[in-house]
Amino acid sequence: MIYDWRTFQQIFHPKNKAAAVNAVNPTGPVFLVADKGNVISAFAEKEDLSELIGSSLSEIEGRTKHRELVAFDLADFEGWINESNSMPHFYEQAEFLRAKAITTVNGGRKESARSAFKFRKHFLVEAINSWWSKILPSSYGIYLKIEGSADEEILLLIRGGAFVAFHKPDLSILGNERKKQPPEVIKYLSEKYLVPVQGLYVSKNDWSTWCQAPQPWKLVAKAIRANGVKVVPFRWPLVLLMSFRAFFGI
Amino acid sequence: MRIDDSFASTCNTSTMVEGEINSHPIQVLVNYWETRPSSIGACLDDLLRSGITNIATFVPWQAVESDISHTLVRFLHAVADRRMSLSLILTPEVGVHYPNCGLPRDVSSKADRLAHSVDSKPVNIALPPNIFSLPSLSSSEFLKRYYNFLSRIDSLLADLSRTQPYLVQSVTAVLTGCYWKYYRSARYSALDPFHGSAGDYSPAVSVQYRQRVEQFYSQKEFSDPTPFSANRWKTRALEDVNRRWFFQHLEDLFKSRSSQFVKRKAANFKLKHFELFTPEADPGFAFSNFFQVVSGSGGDFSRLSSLVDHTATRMSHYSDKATVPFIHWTNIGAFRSLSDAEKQFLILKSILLAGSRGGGILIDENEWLSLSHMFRSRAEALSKSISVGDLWLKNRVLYLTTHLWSDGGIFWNQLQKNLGANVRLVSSLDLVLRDHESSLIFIDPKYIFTQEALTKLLGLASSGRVVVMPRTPLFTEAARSELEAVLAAGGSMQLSLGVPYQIQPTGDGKLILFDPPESTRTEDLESVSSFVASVLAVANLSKYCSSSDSRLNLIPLEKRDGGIGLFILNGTTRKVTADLLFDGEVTVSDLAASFAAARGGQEQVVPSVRFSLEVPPCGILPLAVDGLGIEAEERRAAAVNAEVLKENIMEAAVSELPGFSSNHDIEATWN
Repeated sequence: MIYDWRTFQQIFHPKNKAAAVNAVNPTGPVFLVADKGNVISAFAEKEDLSELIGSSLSEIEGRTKHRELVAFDLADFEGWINESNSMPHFYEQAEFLRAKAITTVNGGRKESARSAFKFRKHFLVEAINSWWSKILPSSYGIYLKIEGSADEEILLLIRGGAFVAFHKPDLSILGNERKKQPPEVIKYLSEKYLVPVQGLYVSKNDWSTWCQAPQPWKLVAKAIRANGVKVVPFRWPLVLLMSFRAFFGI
Repeated sequence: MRIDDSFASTCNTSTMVEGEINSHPIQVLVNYWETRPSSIGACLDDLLRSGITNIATFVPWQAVESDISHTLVRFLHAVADRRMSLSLILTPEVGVHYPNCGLPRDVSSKADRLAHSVDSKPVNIALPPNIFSLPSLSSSEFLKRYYNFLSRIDSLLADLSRTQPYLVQSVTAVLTGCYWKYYRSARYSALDPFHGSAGDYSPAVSVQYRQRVEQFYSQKEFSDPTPFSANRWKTRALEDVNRRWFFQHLEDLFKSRSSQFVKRKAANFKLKHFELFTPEADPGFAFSNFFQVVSGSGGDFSRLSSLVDHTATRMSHYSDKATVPFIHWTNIGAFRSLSDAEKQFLILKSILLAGSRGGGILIDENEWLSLSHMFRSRAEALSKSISVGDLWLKNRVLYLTTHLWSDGGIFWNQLQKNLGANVRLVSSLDLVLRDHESSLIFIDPKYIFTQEALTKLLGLASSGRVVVMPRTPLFTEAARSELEAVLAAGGSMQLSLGVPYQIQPTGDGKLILFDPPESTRTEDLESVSSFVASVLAVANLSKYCSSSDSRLNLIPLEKRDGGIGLFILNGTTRKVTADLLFDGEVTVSDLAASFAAARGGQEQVVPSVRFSLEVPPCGILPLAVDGLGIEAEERRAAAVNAEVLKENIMEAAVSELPGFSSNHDIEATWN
């Protein structure tokens, strides 16, 4: 499979414990889709808002003054979905929908509305999509192995900062011994996919901690210094990029 | 969740209708193309260690076309070596973890081959690994390629049956309902899952529709009494009726031809028909998917729960047999982001509603194994009780409609409101004729009555059922004449409870003819409600019990040894305390204890008409209710009849006696 969403999701969006929601007096944002001013769909986490369906937007605004309302127009929604159809995979489509949603709601100006979108991009994915793409090779791969009781692995193939493929690589050809040697694995993948591949070997515990940390790059930089992360092959420019992100936030 | 392991202990022969028995209500999904051939053995061994011996896999069309390393055959080898049983799901379905859900790219990318919903928009499936639009299953290019794909599979299965029979001994090919049920508008489905008309409204299908309508109404029966009579059936006013009939016809044809292609060479191969439903991919969940993507919040649990309710009540068919309903829970959509309690609730609810109708659930291996061992044992125990026929969901009312996936209308909604899960929507008259459980058959006002259909329905009425028919212009002349002949026998009773209707005794049963209201104003809905209540009373049907809190959902399953297994579902995030109300005195006990008592254990019973209970958030309380025997049924029916009679008398008195009002104290007048 070229786009192994299941593995991608498992590694970059591991299931975290849901934040507690106040079931008695909910305060979270309410998402709505309206058609000609009438609400046709309503959603808030852990709530059944079916009673809002059919009401007008102004009515709902009056009834839920204490809550953030994020309303989308049906025509916008349909247009975005149709536009996203031509994109190759769900990650790109979801990114596109998020970008459209954020810029549409209050023109993206109102900070409180923006805060309703609590989706947080994974720190590694964010870095890959960032200005790094201008410095890193136009095409390259990242082989990420998360070592724990059950190893998880993914190969990301990137072109111009966008993912062109993500899946578990087939390393069966290497045999059991060579598979355990990171340089052998990276060499094999580079030759197979004809792009430079960067290997990152991380422990499951570290990865889980970083995924939830507010400033994960600092932890990554510390782990590299303490040999907690295997960077194979060790490329100084890449480590420098990581350090920049860790300490200067860029 | 308090479903006891002792569910599993009884193991008798089933009492369910033959063909509806399914020994595996929980089907764990293992997709062979997602695992490297070298790892498949280890993966299956893991499943065996977890006690899983029956698995299912999708066979994506695209994967078959590009399967140069024969991974499917290697997978069959691995399954056969471990003596596991396998269901191969051949029909294209949604919720499959494959680009375009396994459809070849050229099939799903051409704009002129896409299906359109009633609002002329493409039908999008917003689930990973990519959002895509559903193709039209009526497109000739699509069908040509699809049948080629099925022929290829047919050849493969036939070859294997001949050369390596042990490989396919415990393999069952499965054909599903495909995309037909998803051809619905996201906009309308958001209001109510099956709101509005479903079907493929793409321009190419519209051309086919017109041709087919011409062909259908050229039959002699529609040209009676004059050849011009056929024109009245083709007017714009009947466009919706005709479209619904046409879409059901297309779906039936598709299923029948698919089956023929798979059975051409592999005639002896086991073939089953499922109606597979993936709530996360439903058009009614499109907005919820969008909200989840943009906001990063959890899945819309209440919406998923409501979709399960709505889908499980629709009984699809293949030929004249019911297809078994399966609900598919993936780990690529909203289901994955739910809490364990919510997942467990949905799984049990699906087993209760689909499993007790001969189907069950299809669940991704990772999701199933991520649940606690204790929960899995309980769910398996419940499934086993259902699969051996200890518990089943009775169809007390069948609602015959023209198109299964379109709006059921106000009468259907009202029936559902009254009897909940015991009412089922069907679109095949043959299926109605094969059913022996329901005592009431309600015909949708958009149903076309030919003489043949009417004769069959009158036959049902004569055999002791209550058949409720609308008085509409949708009777052919021959049908109308036959109906008039029945009515001419006399003995009918004219009534009006908002909706005017006529009760005609026929044989051992009754025929009710009613005038459907032309609009759906609030006052009409009230009339419909009274009418439906009186019709149910005529058929001696009423709720087994009710709850004082509408947030609780009740699913009554019939128990083999009498009484009912009542499952009380709290689909909210708060604890609900409520009273359970019965018409007569009954005994209530824990369902698991009841099964234990049947084996000689101690049963705890408390006879009463009212029971207080507390159901935890996302909780399901299983109770055994006894004492709802014939006597109790009769007592309840008499009470309902008396109530309806009282209402009728009051209404008649109000209209006939000047100065009389319904608030009048009659007893005081007499005294």
